[in-house]
Amino acid sequence: MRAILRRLGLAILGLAIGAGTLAAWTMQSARAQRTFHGVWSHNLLPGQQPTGPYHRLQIAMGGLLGLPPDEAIYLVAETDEQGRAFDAACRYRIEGVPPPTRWWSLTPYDANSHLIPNPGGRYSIGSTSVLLDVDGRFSVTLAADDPGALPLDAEPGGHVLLRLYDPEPGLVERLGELELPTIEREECS
Amino acid sequence: MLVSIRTGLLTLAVSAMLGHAALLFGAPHAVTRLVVGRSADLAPVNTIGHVELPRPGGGGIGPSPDLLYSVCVYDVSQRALRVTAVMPPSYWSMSVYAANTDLMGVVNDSAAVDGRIERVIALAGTVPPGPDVIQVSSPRGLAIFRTLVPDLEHWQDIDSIRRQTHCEPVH
Repeated sequence: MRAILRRLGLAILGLAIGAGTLAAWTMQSARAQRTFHGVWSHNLLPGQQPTGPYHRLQIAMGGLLGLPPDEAIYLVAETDEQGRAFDAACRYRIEGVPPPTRWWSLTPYDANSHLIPNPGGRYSIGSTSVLLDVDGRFSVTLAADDPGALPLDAEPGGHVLLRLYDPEPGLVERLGELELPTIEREECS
Repeated sequence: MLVSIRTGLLTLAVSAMLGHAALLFGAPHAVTRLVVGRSADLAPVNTIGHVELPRPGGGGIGPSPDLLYSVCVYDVSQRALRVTAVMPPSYWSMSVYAANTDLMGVVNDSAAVDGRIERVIALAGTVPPGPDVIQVSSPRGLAIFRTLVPDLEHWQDIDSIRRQTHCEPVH
């Protein structure tokens, strides 16, 4: 009986080691499948065609049900221009020019990728809602407890997602040449 | 004693390999089953279900608050599935995934003819290939529809258009 239990314990431990090491490797390698452009990182996995089971697992865990880059490009910012994580005590200014794509939007999320409540009812800005100045540039505030701004979560770990839908052909190869929005921290309380 | 250690190591090694294989080949299917299970709450298999405009507290991971999402869990083991959609005056797309999460095809509103898109989703090898056919590698999977709401104050207008999308077995 003890031998059986011992063997069962070893089997469970083995299963956990086998699955756990693969899961850790997959998350690590999926995270490495990014390119970086200023504060923005581009996840290469969504919409890829898998070249084998390991690649498929990476896509499932790091780019699940996403669209390929000729249909949509997703860029994520987790920090301001100085590399500081977003802080709910601070206000941020996101500035830029509209990207060359049919539709785009900027949406903040909390650490669990959930939309952030905002009494002002504003959860994103984009090509259909943004106001441009005389130079064709936009500017928007990201802050907590400001109904007129894009909402910033009170808890740490939030991020901003820049979606580019139906982009110009080949845009994903030219991301490094684009003027992407900047995120500057302003005053902090 | 040596036999016992050797047996123990063998047990550990074999079960580690099994755990590795189970995650490698099982996780993509399990993830799709999870999504399909949630989607099936919206509508039966081979019919379209519509999600409300994403808002905080509404669930979902990373949804866009500017998109109306619809889902059709398909089962083409017996018959192909026809998708017909009336196009809104804004961005629309359909992406089709197999049970192992592989992307099988994408189409957006730029491919519309007379303001409509019609596609057939069929198990590979069961119908002749064609520009309007999306061949899938597994009998079950899901199609996700994204419809842009350019003016959130009048999102119901776009909603009434997207509810004219149908997915149903080909007869």
